Amino acid sequence: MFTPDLFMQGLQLVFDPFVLLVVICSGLYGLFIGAMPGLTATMAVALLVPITFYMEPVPAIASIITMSAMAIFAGDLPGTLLHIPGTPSSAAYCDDSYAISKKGNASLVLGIDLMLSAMGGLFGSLVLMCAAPALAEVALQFSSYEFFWLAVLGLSCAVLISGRSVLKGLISLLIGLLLTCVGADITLGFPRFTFGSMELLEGFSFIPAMIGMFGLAEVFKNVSAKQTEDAEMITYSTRILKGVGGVIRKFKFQLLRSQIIGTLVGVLPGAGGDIAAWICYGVGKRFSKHPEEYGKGSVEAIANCTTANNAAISGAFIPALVFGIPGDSLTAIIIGVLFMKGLEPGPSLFAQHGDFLYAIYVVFLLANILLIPLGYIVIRCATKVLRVPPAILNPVILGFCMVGAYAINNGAFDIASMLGFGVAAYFMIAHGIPVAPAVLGLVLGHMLENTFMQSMVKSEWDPFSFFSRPIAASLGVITIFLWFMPLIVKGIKRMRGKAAPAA
Amino acid sequence: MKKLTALCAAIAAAAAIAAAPAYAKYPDHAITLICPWGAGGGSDAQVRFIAGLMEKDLGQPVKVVNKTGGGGAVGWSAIARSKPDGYTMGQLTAELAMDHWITPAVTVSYKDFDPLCLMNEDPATVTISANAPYKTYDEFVSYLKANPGKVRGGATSVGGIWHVAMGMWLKAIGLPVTAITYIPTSGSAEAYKEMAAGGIDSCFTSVPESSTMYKSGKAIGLAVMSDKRDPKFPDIPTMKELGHDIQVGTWRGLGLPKGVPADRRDVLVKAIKKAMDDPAYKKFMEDRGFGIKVLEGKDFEAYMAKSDAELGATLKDLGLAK
Repeated sequence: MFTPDLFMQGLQLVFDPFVLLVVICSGLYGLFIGAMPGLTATMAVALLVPITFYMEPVPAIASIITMSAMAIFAGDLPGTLLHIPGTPSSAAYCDDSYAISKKGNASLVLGIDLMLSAMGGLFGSLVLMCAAPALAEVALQFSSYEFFWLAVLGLSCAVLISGRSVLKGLISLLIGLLLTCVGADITLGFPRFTFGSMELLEGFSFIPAMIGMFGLAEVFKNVSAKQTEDAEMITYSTRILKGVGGVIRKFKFQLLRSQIIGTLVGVLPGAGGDIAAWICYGVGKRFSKHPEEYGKGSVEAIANCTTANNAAISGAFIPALVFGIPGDSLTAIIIGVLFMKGLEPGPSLFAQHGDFLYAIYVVFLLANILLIPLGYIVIRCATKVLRVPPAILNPVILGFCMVGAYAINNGAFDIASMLGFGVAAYFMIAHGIPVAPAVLGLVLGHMLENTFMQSMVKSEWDPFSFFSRPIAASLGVITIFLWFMPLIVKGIKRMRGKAAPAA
Repeated sequence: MKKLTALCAAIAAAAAIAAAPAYAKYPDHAITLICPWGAGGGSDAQVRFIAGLMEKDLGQPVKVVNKTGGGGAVGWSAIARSKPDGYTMGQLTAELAMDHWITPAVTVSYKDFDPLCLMNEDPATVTISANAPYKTYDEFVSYLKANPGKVRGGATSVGGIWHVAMGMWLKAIGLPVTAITYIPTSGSAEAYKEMAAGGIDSCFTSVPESSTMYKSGKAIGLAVMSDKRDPKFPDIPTMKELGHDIQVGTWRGLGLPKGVPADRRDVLVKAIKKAMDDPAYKKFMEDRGFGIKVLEGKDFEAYMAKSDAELGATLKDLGLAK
């Protein structure tokens, strides 16, 4: 599978002064955004996209990859020092981190965060490098039937695992899917819901929607959140590597397990670093020798989760590159960027743009290695970074949202659509409706519709054709089984309840 | 009264200053070039390359601004509505001759522009999957005649340029447009993905879009809908050689809003032609696989008028024109 020629071409594409500069700048930007409580990695990417717009594909994607790896690590900083997770991915083990640093061992926590984030990222990258080309080989045989089921499966996963309530996830998904109905449909060329407007003929553009839903909505959320008392920041020594080696040796099998789980959760559409961390927290606790320490300052918990959330970033790239199905909200944006650059994700990307893919692999390795020195710098000056007041930050982000939405298409229409999406997403968040399924709906809606219509036209409107090919049939059965999972689980629980009423 | 006179004088002076550049050497500030297609795509790349070369000649920046949406119509409306002072021009492409036939909301057409120069034309092809039971052009045509609707074709969404090319070709060989079942796809990449997986049997995309499939042996090019063979694939005959003179494909050129002074238009045409003579531009077009076809002014207008009429007629045959 490994092609040395393409690897060399990939290296050449990445080790270009401009690309390296972009990687370092976006790395620092990611560290900053990740460290700021309330600013998520997804938002950082949404704001970065208008800038990548003016770049070649390699630096554009490189900046997003580097930035997200750095942001997920940096989210641990405020969790450790202020007891506020910097990004949702750090929420699972925030209590543990803070408990340990309160006992005066913050530098150990930061050291574990840094080294194991990098290790998790590297592990996920290696899986990506091995699994993606092999899967792409298989995916070359996929036609519209298989892609239809993959889209349905992806959307179903997003609903089932994205939030606490399946119903709210479904509402969110349907909002996203309905929005993709706007514009001329590809089967008949009929303009739907455009109200005679030319701007809407191609539907809502994805990037302004993204900036609104992740950028603007976050600003609204931050502004409307209750002002908390400034927490006392914990002081720490910068000799962060002391004791980290011992932790890695002690928990090597648990860490490997967490990295595998993290990567796999990353692969699942709709679930990213945050869910990977929560699952590894739960699994770790279940099999731990000291489960009673979890939540009260367990080094094991921190190590497991911090490595898993970084592994998830690379994992999410596997379905995104191979099938064009995003593994999380970050890769949803990246798919949008790839389309804008004329690089359609999917098996043909592997056949035609091998050098570009190897460049992506190289960037993944580079970003996770660079994480160590850059992360160390940020740990050294974290006290200053974390003190940037929100009163300055929020207006600046709002400005970036506006400029970003305008820059995509040089039109006021996109600013209006960004504002609309932002306000809508704020109300969704305020009512506990997760935003991620809507975003996935926006990305996959066209694929769902196109593959459905293609399959129907091809088979002369025979619905059973969706089960006519072996892989399509298997995917279909898995999907339908997944739909009934919650019902089956409920049924089993009820039966058990009846069987043992006395227990 | 004195105040009023002073004011009038001030206004007159201001007007004189504002009008002064009209007598200065054109261009004396940046020119905007509106591209109706997204940054990063083929049309955008081509127009940016030309803009970069024109800057050197004109001595003023040529800024490319992407205004996408409405299948190009948003960008074209912006160009057509802009001030005809020679400081705004735009890219015109084949979709300009199609959108207004299909969508009631779109009114902009080639008639709203003063043509500058046609720069590129990529003809459609007749391409079949290498796994198909027919291998040659004649076999394909007789198979279509014997099995109406059995062959599945694709390349773009319904009403896209390659769908229209398919319609024109079927009509020319005397078959109804329903002889091939058209599977809508979002573009040529998706169509070829389907072809590789066995979902589509024939494709009508341009040569550069099909070349990877030709080279990998997964698809066979049977004909080019042009009067000249493609230099990269000289074995593929033209439709003219096969007995039907149909020429259809995408094209790209530059145009101005109506009413730009002729001397300014000439300056721009000269700069464009100089840019197209640049070896770097020729290499760029070669690398991308874009075909070079140059027509100036009135010839370009006639070309657009012909394209508009032919595409419109086929869209009517396909039942897609409003």
